[in-house]
Amino acid sequence: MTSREVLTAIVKDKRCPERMGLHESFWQDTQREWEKQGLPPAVNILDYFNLDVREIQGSLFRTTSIPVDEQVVDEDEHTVIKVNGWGAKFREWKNRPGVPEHLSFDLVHEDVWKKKYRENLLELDPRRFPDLEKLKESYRAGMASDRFCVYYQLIIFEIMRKAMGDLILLEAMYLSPRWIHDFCDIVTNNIIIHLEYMIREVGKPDGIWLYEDMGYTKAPFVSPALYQEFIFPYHRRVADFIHSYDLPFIMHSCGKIRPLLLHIVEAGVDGLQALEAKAGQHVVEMAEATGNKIAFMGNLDIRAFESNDQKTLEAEIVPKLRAIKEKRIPYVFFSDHSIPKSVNLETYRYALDLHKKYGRY
Amino acid sequence: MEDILKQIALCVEKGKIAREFPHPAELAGQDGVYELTQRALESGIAPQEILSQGLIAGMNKVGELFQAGDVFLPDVLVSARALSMGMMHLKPYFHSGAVKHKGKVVIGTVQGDLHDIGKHVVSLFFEGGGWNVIDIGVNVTAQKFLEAVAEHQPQAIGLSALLTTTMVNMEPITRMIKTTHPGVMVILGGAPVTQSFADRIGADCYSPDPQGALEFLNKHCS
Repeated sequence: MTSREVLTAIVKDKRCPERMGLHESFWQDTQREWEKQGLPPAVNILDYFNLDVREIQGSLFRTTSIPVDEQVVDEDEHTVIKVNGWGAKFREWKNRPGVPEHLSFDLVHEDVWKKKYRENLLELDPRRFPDLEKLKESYRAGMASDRFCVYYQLIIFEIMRKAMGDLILLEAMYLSPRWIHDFCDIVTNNIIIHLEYMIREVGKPDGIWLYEDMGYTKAPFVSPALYQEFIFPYHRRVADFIHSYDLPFIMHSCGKIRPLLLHIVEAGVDGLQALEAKAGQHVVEMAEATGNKIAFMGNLDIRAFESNDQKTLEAEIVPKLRAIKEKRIPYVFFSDHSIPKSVNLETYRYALDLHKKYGRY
Repeated sequence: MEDILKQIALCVEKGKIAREFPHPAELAGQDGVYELTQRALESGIAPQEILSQGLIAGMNKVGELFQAGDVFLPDVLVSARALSMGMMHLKPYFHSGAVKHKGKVVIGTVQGDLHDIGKHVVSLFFEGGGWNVIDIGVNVTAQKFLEAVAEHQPQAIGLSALLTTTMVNMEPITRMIKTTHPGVMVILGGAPVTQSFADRIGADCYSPDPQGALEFLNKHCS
């Protein structure tokens, strides 16, 4: 079976084909480090490791109210300060990944939303696609391959966090509920309008992969009740749209989202990715709780990879794959994070060997 | 007197900031922390009692609920907002010395890490527990922690890190503080940190949640 057939069976149909899916994401400096350990220079790392999924480059359209890329407004030796199209200011590292520091936000009140930001989001705006021709080219190349190709994008909660920051957003759910509902409604429609445009102008992919970080190690950012009130209706609307094209909806979320799991399934998410193990989540328990109504991707504890110890890695991976096989859980082999440079190339290769050996249904 | 202090504590717990705020629905139209604290002061209740039996008691309850997973971050933030309304009325009494903090804590995110929300939430709990928090920001070097300790003379420092790659920077900071200021307690927090890591680098406390860190402060530093 091709990557496309395997992933379609797992994520869209929730079936177990001949093997478990295989995918991964890597920190930007991992490949450079691995080249020092013997990885051939400048390879496409996804092709090199024969991974199943391809994100169609250019499909990450601009979701900020003002459709511009982040602008650098200041910098020092190690960091840059950027402003995004919501007027929010962040400090980021120049040459390495990491969570940015929140410096200031313009969108602090419903009045600012209505005066400056709401109007821009009401209609289709092709400027949100920086390079439509490149996107078409990337789509053609991806779909001509056997890989499972996805459009990828941020979604509602993640967009709110970038617009107003965690603190304002989380407080506003209680103190300005009308504003949050209006924001979610307008932004959801805007996402749908532009996904629809992309499908019409560029083509239909194999799936749509949306990024929505809703948890940290200890808990979800919001309670199940707040999820149900403020996020669920909009996830549902997006899911209905995606399903209207007979496509699967894959959602990424870091952190502990187990308390939201049944709501996420009800919203119509087809595949859930990351499933952080250090947040106390276990893919088999989650699958049992959902009755295999959703496919899972991830949950292989990154700390076991970072140990660079084959026994530790085996102890993490092998029992999970055996249980996944035994219980027929639609699953894609994936760490619960992304691979940092502290993981040795040899360790990652060994993980792939384990997938090959134990990752067949 | 007891009634109004209990009311203040309840309003902090429920996030009832002031009368004009409709949240929470069950207290809509009623006075919140802002009005109740003002009324308590006018009726002659000692500011220190309002702080400890009203504001801190309410925030402590939120901490327990948060630790147990019964409330979530939005609840904590709204409670902290309510508490800050009461603190506004108590500010002059802090200046005059009629109300005292339990002590000082210097808090920061360690070098290499720009992450700030975890530190912010822990600061809210420490402040809500009656501690004077000196937040020295993110990407803080060992030298900057040392300078802050020398300047502010805290009972404890709190170190935060989000990543395994930055967590390692807690070790030199802890070592330097323990060498130069052995009486200052070192508290660690953050997603990758574990008790065994804290033990290995010689920190005094690791807590997976803010309430645990506050309980350590109250027990060992005040």
